[in-house]
Amino acid sequence: MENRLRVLRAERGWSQAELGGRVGVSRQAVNAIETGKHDPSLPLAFKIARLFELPIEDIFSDGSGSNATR
Amino acid sequence: MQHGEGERLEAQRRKRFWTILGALFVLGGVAGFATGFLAGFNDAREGGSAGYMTAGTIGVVILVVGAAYGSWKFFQNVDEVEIADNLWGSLIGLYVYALLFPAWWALNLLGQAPVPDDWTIFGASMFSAVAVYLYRKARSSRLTD
Repeated sequence: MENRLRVLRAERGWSQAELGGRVGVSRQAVNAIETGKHDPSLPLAFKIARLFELPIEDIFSDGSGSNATR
Repeated sequence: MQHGEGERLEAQRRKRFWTILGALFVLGGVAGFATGFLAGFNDAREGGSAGYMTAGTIGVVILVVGAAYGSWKFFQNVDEVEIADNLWGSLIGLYVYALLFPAWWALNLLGQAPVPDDWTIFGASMFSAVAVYLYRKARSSRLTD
């Protein structure tokens, strides 16, 4: 799965730890999601989307030519 | 980078994680040392007494109950990536056990290997589980910020 997490985080000047703390996961978890090594669960994806005030599909995509890019 | 509320919460979460892990290590160390010490004492006395046997048994019970409680608290405080790492480690460890024991047992029946050794199979299963867990931890811990 692809995502725009790194870009969105950079726009806000947040570290991985900052984002992790805000959604209740570790820095390593944020890193694993950003690098595509872990696909977040639906509850976590919703939490991230709510935090960035964006629809989930604007942050995550299945890589089949839709919105999110790494 | 901004250092805000999220970093403070993440630091708290990390502290909880290491506190629980540290308590589990201390518990394992103390119980292991105590039961080992009692077992050695028991051997030295060639049979020992009922008191030493009871104390050793209590040590094992404390270790099992403590580890079970600690693990429960641990899993209440970790995120989904940590759980996934644990699940993958456990799965591979189980597969190693499930393949190694019957293969060794069958080879023994065929006269090609000695009787399966409990500790070797246990060690291989644990080693595989820990190796997979650590590999996944290292992979997701690599800083890319």
